[in-house]
Amino acid sequence: MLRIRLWLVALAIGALAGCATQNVSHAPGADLSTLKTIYVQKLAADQRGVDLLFVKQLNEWGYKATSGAAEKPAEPVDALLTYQDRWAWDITMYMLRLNAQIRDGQSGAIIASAESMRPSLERLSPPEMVKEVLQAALKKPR
Amino acid sequence: MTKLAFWVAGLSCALLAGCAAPSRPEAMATAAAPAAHKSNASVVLDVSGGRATQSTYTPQISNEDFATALRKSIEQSGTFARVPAVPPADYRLIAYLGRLDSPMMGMSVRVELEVGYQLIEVGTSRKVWTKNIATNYTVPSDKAYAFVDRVRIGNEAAARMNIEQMLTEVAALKLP
Repeated sequence: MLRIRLWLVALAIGALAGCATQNVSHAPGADLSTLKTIYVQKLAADQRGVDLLFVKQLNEWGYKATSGAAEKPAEPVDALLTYQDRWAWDITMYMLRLNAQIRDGQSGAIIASAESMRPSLERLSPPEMVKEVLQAALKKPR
Repeated sequence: MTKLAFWVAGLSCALLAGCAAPSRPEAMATAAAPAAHKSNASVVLDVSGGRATQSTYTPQISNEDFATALRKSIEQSGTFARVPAVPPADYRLIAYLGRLDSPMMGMSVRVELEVGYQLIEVGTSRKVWTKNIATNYTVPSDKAYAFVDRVRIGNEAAARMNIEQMLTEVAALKLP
């Protein structure tokens, strides 16, 4: 009886815990060192202001970042940033996965892509998730 | 006691049944009509940005599997005469899998895929064609029982549509 209960607990922990994963890739020949201006394209479904977290972090690092709902900014920029955030519930809502793509400012082609996935027990706050993803995509030191 | 044992068995089955399988190259390759224009040139493939599938995460598309699907599709359509595994070749087709997005759970599953293609003439290092192709596919809930299978089916369909579109555009270049 006790052994079965222990198995149940172990299975439940195994199912819920998982591992935090980060993935990043860069397009062949992509040069991110020349980027100065970045436009964050607000995701239509984003009601939590994740676009503003990206803008804040980018500005802290010295980029000139803006965001908006339009597909393209009013003025030309070096890069566009698109993102997809996924949330889950475990006692409180938390950001389960964040994907971001850095795109060429003119063509819109993806030049870098990063993802952070953090299950409940390894959750980070949204600003920390944003920072983690941007660090990977823009090759910033941690 | 018996009830508990059933719970353990049920949980174990549910965990094991939900293991993600990678997207299959044969299902990503397109068997569409022959190319409108067939080039006599050869092309070598350079795929990056893909990811291997971990059994505990959603199905992904690996570089190797996408390259295999690309090779099969090019050979079947006749867009290029040859697709050698390694250089030399007349052209180099770069495919960067920049985005593969699917939900973490749900009934119907919408997969979005974006691939950045560059076709380079090897002799002159000239970019002949460059295009970012985005495709998506929604898998209805009754298509497969397991969520991860619906994601895999969505990945494969989005990849197939993406390759089809690429082949159509490359054929329109009317390369010699």
